[in-house]
Amino acid sequence: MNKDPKVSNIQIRGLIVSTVIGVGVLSLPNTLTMTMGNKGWVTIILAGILIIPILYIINYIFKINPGKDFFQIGEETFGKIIFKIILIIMMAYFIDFCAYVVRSLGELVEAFLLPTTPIEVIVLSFILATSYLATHEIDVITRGGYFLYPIILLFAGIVILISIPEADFSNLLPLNNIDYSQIPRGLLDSFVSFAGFEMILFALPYVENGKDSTFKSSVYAMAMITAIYVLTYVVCIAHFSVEQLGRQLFPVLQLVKQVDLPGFFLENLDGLIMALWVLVVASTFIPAYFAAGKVISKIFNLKSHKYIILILIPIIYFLALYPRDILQINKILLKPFNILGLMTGVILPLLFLIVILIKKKVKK
Amino acid sequence: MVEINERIYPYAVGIDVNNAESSEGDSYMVTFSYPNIFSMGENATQEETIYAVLSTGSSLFDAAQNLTSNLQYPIYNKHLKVLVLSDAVARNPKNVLGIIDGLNRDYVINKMIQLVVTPKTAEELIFGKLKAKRQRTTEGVLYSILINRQNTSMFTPKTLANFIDDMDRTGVSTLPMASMVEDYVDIAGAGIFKNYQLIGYIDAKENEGIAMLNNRIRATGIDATYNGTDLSILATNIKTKKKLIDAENLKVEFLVKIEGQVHEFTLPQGNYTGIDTEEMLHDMEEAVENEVKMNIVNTLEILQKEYQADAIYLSDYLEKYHPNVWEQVKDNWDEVFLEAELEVDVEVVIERRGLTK
Amino acid sequence: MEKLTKDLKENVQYFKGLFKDCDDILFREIEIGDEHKVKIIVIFVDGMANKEFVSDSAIQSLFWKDDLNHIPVDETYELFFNRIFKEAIASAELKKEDKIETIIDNILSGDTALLVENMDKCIVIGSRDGPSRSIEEPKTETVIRGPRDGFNEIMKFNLALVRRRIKDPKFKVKFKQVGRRSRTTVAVLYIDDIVDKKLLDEVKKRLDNVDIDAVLDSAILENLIEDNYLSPFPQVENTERPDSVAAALYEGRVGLIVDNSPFALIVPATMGTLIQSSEDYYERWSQTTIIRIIRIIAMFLSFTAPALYIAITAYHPGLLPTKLIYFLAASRINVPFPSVVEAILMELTMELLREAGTRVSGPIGSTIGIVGGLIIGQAAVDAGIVSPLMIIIVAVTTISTFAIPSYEMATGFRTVRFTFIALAGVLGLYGVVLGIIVLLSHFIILSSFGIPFTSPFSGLGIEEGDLKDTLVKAPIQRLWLRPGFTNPKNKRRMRGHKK
Repeated sequence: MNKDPKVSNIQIRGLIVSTVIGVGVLSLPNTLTMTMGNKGWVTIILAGILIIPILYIINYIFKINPGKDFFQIGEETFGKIIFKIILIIMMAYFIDFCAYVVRSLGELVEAFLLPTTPIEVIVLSFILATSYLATHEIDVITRGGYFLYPIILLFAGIVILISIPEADFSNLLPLNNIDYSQIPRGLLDSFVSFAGFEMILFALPYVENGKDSTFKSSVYAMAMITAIYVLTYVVCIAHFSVEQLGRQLFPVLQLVKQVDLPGFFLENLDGLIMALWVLVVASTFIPAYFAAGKVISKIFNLKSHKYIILILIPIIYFLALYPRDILQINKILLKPFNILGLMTGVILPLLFLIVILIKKKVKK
Repeated sequence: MVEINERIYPYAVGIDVNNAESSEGDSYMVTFSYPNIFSMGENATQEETIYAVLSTGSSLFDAAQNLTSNLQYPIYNKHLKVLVLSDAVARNPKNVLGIIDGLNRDYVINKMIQLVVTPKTAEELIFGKLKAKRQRTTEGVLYSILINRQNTSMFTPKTLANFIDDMDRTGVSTLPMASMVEDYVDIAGAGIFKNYQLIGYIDAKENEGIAMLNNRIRATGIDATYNGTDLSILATNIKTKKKLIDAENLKVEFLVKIEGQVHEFTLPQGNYTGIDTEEMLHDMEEAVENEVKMNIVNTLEILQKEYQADAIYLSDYLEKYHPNVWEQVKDNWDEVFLEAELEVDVEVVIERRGLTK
Repeated sequence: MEKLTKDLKENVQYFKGLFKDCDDILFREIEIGDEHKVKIIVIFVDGMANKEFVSDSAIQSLFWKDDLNHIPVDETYELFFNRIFKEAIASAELKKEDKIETIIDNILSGDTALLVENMDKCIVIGSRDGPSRSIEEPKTETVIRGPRDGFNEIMKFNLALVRRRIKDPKFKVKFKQVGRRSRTTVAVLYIDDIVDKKLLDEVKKRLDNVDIDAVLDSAILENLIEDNYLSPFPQVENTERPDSVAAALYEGRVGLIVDNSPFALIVPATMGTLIQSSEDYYERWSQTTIIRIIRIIAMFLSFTAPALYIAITAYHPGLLPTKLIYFLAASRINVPFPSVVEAILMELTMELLREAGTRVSGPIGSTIGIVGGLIIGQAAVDAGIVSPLMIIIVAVTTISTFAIPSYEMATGFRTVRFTFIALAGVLGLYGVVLGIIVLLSHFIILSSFGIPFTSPFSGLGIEEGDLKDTLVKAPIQRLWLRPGFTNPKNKRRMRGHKK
């Protein structure tokens, strides 16, 4: 029945939103405030806008190569050997992505939910639970992405709505002292939070109805993500001082803990947010896990990525647990993630475009 | 996995300086108070509703740890509602910084914990409130008084988050002052903190002034004298706006707008028509305005001259709305604040007279 | 022997040999004609064929027909046979048959076979009857407003109940047989210009692939044709209500009625359809919207309630409001067991009670419910074995299970409930969430005849506005398109609105 997985347009939107919004949300205000003060929302919007051309390029690549999936187009464009090298880089990226995400989640769960449980158990159980879905094909993954996407919106909605009553929006002032020199760094920090849109490389070729509006869907998704990030950022600034934001590692969670509305038994919201949060992270992790498995299976020319997923369990586990503390996490997992992410998300599509254009010219 | 009835949930904690001789790094004396769950619910088997325990330690958490030698269940801090700092602890900025930092870092402690300062010792307050009368709530009398929105201006509750926020923005904050008055717990006035150090106290009236300027009062009563008689007003809506008049020599104007209604007024003999002329109303308003202005000016004096503490968020205002001015003055803010000319203009509108004229 | 021979004796011997020791299959020999007699053997099953009907319209009409008694000498048996067939037997359902297997099948279904001397064909009279239940309100799906007729075990009545509601010649009924020995008839019901041909072909293909001795109930068929038989959750809907079947057909789905089973099957089934009940369409939309939302909450509670209780009290007491904490702690003071053990004990007791209640019917059955629920629960609390909140949680869980319209979905959730309790006991709230991830993954992976199980929540059918009829219930005026998840051909079902 699943000879050719089929995906619909709306599901693409859901896939992008649910994959991208993940670990970045919690710590974005923190890292941004350190470089940009209380004007970080500018860089978020800028980053969102800058990704749109990349989305266009990716859509274009699939439009002019109808009926072929990412791996076929890659081989044709770059030749087998170079493409294999590219695949290896992508593999490293996705594995790093997974390790970083699961380690961050583990740290958080250990801190807020299960202080006496060893982090090994938390990480391993997460990888095992998500491996079930990751062994299936892209259409199932996309379905899952679409299913979880309202939950993510719910999460963001709760966070934003409950903080509005006590928010002091004057904290955003003054509006005009933007430190332009810091914008590039700010962009880099923001970009990490947008990582994950590369998933559409695997899903776009299978869209069956509405092939022309996939670009619109992607942009719509990106706009939603940017809006959520900006709102979250604004709401954090409205609640905390810049210094406090600089200190706090997880300002969004702190925000939820600090809301005090009368008449609600709001202490429960803490737990609800944490539970939703694990789901949000899962919706980010599963596509990346799937991607890692798929890419590896193509490197070795295997038919199905099922067994690779199983092999990846110990790999991701050990990589995730290798750094000892938060500083090492940043050094060993986050930095390569930034670089590899840029390569996969930005440079790769550009390379595709350049080679395709050159080939076109050569043909003429 | 620890069952819910196998933990202790203290709701108030007090920190004192440890004066014992063999301290050895245990610089604090910490007092916890927690409810006795055996006295609650249907199968209540015991009478005493609260317990208090005392321990020494190098921090709040260390003290809780040290208590494990004589408590049956572990302490779980998530439901701590009030933290009492004693005068001695608060006077030392290192202590305060350390405590605040610890609270900030901890995952479990709720950042909405109320902070309170007490002029004597925290131990006295906490043990004292055990015997205090008129307390029957599970959350404790301190917390209930603090959060009970009784529309009072005698104290302004501050949470940990508020305190840190104040310190980051202006370097100045006020914490309500609690003490045992005879057998009752009394919270009135505040302690002024500058750069994490307690520098002095203000009384309830001065607290009212500050609260008015910071838009922290919901409603309060104001007394004034009019025509030789007492006039009592209930102010229901108090809003203050700051306005920068002169940037060179810092001059800021505070416009306080008060809406109120008449609470009690002794009519002069022979006046049966009550408050019925515009002129009369106008005069009454003016009387109240003068009263309020006097109080606020007095409070500002104390803040400026005596404490040099910007508890009215002036620096925050400048930073947000007049960043250019802020750039110039921020380096020697203390001096600038001392010299700043703070004008007060009060406007009172008496809207309602109550049920009678 | 595949076909009848011309020798009557041989045919009868064959049948008698086949039906040896089947004492309920009767053979009646009659002779027609006075000068020239023709032998006719009547074979039928006593109890399945309507003996009266056979006597009256078959045998009697043969005796009483005048000109049959005067058989011309030169008339061949063939002509005689055709005369009987066309003019003598006063039965509405009549056919000629020569294949032995079909004849056996017909006899065993309640038809009567007439074997005529010197003919290699026989006449099969449709005389199916037999004991059957009267049409009653379905016990498992009661409604407050709406039709109250339910299926019984006889295929033709069931078909009639559906046909009554779809008086459209495009409503097709195709018979198939499953089960090697049971040869159960399965009727495939669909509306020709709405249903998606691919779906129909898939259904037919799967029915053809069924290779088993006996299909005793539609449940067995369900297991044999569904996509994932290992899953605790059903991928085929079943119902006792003909109006549900009719509604499903109008939506472009395929219905299966199995002989001897009062439960009809409907494919495909999705989460959206399994949380609907037919009553939703007979009540006002605002009421139904609220009820659907409550149902979803009930679904969630039915497997998470005890697990959440354990997770929150044992691992995360910080999540509860302070006042609640103190009283909860006070109520649990002398309970000797950890909350996991409490939960498992009470859940097991509840399952026991439920099982006992279904075994015993009538007045004793309901007493068990009351006795068990109230008295045992109360006694346990008084004895201090269990905390009162636990009883409430268990009660809430059980009630939530009953609020789910589809019984099989509910049992699916019951099955996973214990896993969740274990997860909560080990990893607290995180364990519960991990369990939810696995459960959700399972739903997302599951598909029913090619349609994803989680439609319309996962994208298929969103454009046709399927969501308007799953989570909430829009008024009927707004539902002018058919649900999209079945890919129906004829999308518009109401006039006056454009897509």
